[in-house]
Amino acid sequence: MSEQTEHSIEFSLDALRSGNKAEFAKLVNRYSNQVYRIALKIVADPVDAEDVLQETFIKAFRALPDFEGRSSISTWLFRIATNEALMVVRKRKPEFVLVDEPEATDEDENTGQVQLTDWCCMPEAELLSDESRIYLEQAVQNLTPALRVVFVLRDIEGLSIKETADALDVSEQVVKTRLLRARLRLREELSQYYGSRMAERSKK
Amino acid sequence: MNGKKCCNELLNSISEYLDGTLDGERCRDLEQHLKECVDCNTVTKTMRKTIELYHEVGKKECLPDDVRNRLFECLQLDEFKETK
Repeated sequence: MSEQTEHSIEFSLDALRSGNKAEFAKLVNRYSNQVYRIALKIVADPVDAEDVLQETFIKAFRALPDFEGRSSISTWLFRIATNEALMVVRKRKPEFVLVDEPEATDEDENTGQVQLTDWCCMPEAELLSDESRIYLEQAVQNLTPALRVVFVLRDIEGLSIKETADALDVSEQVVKTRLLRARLRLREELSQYYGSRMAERSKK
Repeated sequence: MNGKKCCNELLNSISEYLDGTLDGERCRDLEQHLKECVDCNTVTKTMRKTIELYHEVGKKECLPDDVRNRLFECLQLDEFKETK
């Protein structure tokens, strides 16, 4: 059982459904950090992320009486949060229909050039320098929102494939396909970046 | 590695392999291929490292105190706020 589902045992669903404020506060204390991180990764703006955070818990409090418990309470919260965050992204860029990833075939992903530098041996301090972190962040932002949200939930927050699928209301197969694409693209971008850093180092 | 069928197949199953969800036979075939193909081995290693780096950095990001305070305030839950 994953970490996410285990935590839902900490909460009394009856108390939450009946609007018990102390119980709801436990939920806020437990998950506000994670909800904020997810929001920030999707909307990439601290002010918008704060709006998403507040809106998520306001909506959750109102919707709790109808919570059926088919998914864990955390997955349910993350679903509200990702929907809120994606709505912000959609409003911001109405000219793009990027939020939904086109269903390309797997082959499409493999036709581009593949970076083959092995940069795993670089020192941790360099892999995670301030400059590298900015690049890591930018690479995630370059993904379409549909890929980004899967990568954030699964690989950054550590949800299972099933929990990610539940949170996004898509099939597990869709999660797997998008995750593969997101990982391939990020690996490619990081390999280009770290590859050029390694080349610079060897010149010195 | 472009154009090699076996390598393209790896790219399609690499994600499931790293998640440990690839079924037995495909997993064994892939591991055998990784022993023989330096390029695919590099792709696998760097993808694993990519995921590790994002997970590591992501976990350290915290909700700023002022944002947290405003959240409890707007939910009228100040009295229940746990100290960090």
